[in-house]
Amino acid sequence: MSLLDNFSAAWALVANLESFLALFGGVIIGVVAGAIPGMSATMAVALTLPFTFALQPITGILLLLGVYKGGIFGGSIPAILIKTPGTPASSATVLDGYPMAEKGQAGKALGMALYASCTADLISNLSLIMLAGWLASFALSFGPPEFFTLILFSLTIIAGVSGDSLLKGLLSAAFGLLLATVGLDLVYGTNRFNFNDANLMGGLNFIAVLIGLFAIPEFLAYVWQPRGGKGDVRALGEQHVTFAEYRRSFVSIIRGSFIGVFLGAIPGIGAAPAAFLSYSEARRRSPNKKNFGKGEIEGVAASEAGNNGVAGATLIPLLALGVPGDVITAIIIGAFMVHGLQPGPMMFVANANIIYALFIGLILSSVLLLVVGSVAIRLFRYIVDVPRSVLMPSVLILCVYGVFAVNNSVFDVIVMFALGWLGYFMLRNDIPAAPFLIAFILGPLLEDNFRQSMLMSNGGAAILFRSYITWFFWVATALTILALIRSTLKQHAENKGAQGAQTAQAAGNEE
Amino acid sequence: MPIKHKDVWLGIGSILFGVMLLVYAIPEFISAPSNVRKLVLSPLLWPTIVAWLIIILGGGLIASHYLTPAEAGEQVDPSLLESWEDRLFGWVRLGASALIMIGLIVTMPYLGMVLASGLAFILFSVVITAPRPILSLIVAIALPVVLYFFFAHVAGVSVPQGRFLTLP
Repeated sequence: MSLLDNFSAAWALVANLESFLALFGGVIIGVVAGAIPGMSATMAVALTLPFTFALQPITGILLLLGVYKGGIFGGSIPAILIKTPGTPASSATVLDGYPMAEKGQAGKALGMALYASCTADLISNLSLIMLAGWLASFALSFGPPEFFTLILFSLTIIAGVSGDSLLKGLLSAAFGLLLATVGLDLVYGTNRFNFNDANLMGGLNFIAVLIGLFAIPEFLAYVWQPRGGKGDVRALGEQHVTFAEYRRSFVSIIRGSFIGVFLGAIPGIGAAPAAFLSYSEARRRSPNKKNFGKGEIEGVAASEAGNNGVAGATLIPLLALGVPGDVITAIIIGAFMVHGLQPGPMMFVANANIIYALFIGLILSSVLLLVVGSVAIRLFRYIVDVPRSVLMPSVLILCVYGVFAVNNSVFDVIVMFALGWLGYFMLRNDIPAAPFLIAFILGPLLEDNFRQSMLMSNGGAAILFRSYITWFFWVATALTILALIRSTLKQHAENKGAQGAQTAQAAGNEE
Repeated sequence: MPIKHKDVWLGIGSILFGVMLLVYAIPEFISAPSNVRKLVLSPLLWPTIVAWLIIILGGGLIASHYLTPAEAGEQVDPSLLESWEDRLFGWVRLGASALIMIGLIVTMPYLGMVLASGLAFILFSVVITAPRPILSLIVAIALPVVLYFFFAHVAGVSVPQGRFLTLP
């Protein structure tokens, strides 16, 4: 089929009320969830997932993509108005957004955040459309050894989502890999940790694991401390962003968008580093660099462009290679699987209409974000006033219904609660949950491709080095690990330096 | 307790868990066909690699505690900054939540999902001493019913009905 045929087939899938409402509803849910401190875009996507079961595949996936897009922008609203980023990606927005709100320019900051987000989102979506097909056609020549090395490289995502401690991130991932081995063996069909229980034969349900890890621990954290305070909400003020201000920040928005696209296309880097890099580049090059950190509108534009530039680009490895770019796309992979679709190069051949329908939907989502975002800014005061004492038990009941609905199974609800308590233990001990989930998803793919390679070569390891593609991924993995070791040693040296300075200061004080 | 001390206990726990996997769980709960000639093709390979990974990372956590210099103003577990009464009530609420979760699962076949989840909502509201009890009560009744109608009639899920309440 030609490109035009694909687009016309895709248009038929998207150009209906159901798809439009799903996307529109998704953006609203995402913006509201992103704007509520304590609810994250990840949790919103996870909770929305069970509601897609009843929908057509394209409608369900558009709903989730809408939540994802809305959630990333929604996080900027509390970042500006109450100095509390709704999502980690909005942390850089606080730097200039909140000082602007203190000066009575919250409306201006939020307006710029919205325009920068929509511009970056559009650029990111266009990049996805241009790059994903090309990458997928290249990946069609991949066999099991190439996929094994690609997934091994993708596991370095874990470094990006490990937070402060890489070791704890890796430990979390190791437990994710272990949990993924539960069920019948992929090659021989023998038992692996399933204790002859029929419920465990097919392994643990992905949705029960993900909701258990990401929603239940938040509920339990609330139960531990139900009286957590909310910050003071700043007034919007009378000033609104002007076209001249948008034009002045345009170069930073475009630069930030491309930084987001570049970093988003590499699995594991995520939106927060893109936002900070975009912000620091804008500050370095801006004629108003002295105002950065004190309420500079260009700073808000740059950080929002950076984090929204990632949103479309993280779908490039997802759609083209079947590898998630971050935690949210890892959840979206689950949605594809629930609807019997396997993202990756073959999807561009077998389900091209769905891929192109997603592209159209994504472009539409940028426009919807502009509409929903401008309304949400005005309604934020009401959104943040939703009592958490009602919200959190509601989240729990939603989780129970959603997880039960996957397989009509109470066992899945038990798995969800068990993983929830494990997730809460991890939360209290600063062990990140994201590496666990990514390893749980990628583990079976890694093992499957490794063992297929070994079957092809009758156990010979040389097959893992058979082509320039495998060599490319081996070198990329080695370089990433070296960079991680280097940064860990650098951190170690900095800590040592800080300790030395502190000791010297203490000695000076004693004298 | 500084967070780094916690890391030592996590490391020790991980090593013990990894050893338990290697010595007991993998030989006991993973069956490998006798005709598998090469280790790389065996169902045992992957779990064994993961068990060793857990042991090594556990060792790494302990080593990092002794090798990394203490950071300026070393982080203390935030929960320990709370008063002992706050912590006690926190543990009581967590314990009660665990019991409600178990109760929800046990009673679901008898009460049905709507009644059991509505009851669980009310009990959770009591545990967290919800400041707006009337609103909580309304949501506790309305939310499970709305979810029932969505999942049963739109998504076609067979939601458990129970013995005391049968919804259309």
